[in-house]
Amino acid sequence: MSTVNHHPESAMLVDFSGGNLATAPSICVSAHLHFCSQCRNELLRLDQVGSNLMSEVEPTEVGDHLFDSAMSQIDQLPESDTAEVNNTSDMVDSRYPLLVNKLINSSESVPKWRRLSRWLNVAQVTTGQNEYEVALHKICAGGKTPRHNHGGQEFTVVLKGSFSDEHAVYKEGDFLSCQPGDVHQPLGAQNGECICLSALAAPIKLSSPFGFLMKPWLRINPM
Amino acid sequence: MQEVMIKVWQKSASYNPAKASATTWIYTVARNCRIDMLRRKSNTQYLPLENEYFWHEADEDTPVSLMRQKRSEDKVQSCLSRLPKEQGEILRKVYLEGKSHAEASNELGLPLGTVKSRVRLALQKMQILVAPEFRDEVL
Repeated sequence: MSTVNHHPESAMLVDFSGGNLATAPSICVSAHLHFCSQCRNELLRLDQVGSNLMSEVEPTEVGDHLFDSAMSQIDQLPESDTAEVNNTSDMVDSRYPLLVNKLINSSESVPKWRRLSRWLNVAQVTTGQNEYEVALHKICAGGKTPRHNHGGQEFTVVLKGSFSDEHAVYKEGDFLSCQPGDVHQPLGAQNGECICLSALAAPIKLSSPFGFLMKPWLRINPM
Repeated sequence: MQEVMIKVWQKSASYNPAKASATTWIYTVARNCRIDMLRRKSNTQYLPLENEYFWHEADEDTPVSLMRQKRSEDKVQSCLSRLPKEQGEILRKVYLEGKSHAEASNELGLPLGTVKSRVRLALQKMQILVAPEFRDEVL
């Protein structure tokens, strides 16, 4: 039985099942599915809805040449490759979803940790889209991150360890969705570092009186 | 369509009837082909990933899981045709027209919350979404 307590809302899973969710939120949902058997089973049932609706569609006639052309392309297919990850980064962890390790090992740009504060490091990953900044966040054991306000949506999946905020404790596999205007202060658990994957649609605003001074460092850079 | 046929051929060895029916599996192959096609058509940057890395298979591979899978498939099939028109209409927009909840809401001139609640009601009728405390009983 899954020990994950926080899940994406049903609308997100439906959009994911229909293939209509944007790339960055899809990456976060997919990372959550790696840890959550409940949502994997829910997704299977949603796919059954899609398959039943697809079966309702009136068949369309196609020419014989289409079949011949498909068969000729099948004959020329190369041997399929395996989904193994060749590590080029020490950030890769065998417990992470394959998708996340693939992103970390992207040949486009290997992510590197950048220190944002004493407690918080960030490493941006390349995802080939321009709506969300997708990054790994590392909160040190017992670390306090600044209290902040969300300017846009943010989706977070805990990959390792745990953190808490004013609302709940988030453990491995938990999915957190922040909406514009939400305010919180994530705190790392005392017993070890916490690593999260997040997709951020707009810069956060720090709630402290001098938070505006940090503005240049909080810009987002979707890539 | 040609691309879907080729993918079905290519992936046929990975198909496991205990995890999903053939039509559900073909649906997932077709959906992934569509996502790949849309990504290629858009001018976004190169995605360093194969679309298939996004998807996970259901866990179990046992006679019990096969029975559950069949029961759930039957439930979905029998409920789908009996859904109120407005609920079925939104599900068709999502699954057949490739519209997100937000796009369906714009197109139908309905608040996003109404679209979400109609979909949620439809999924509850099909027992796809259930209260967490009952999830294991239904699975």
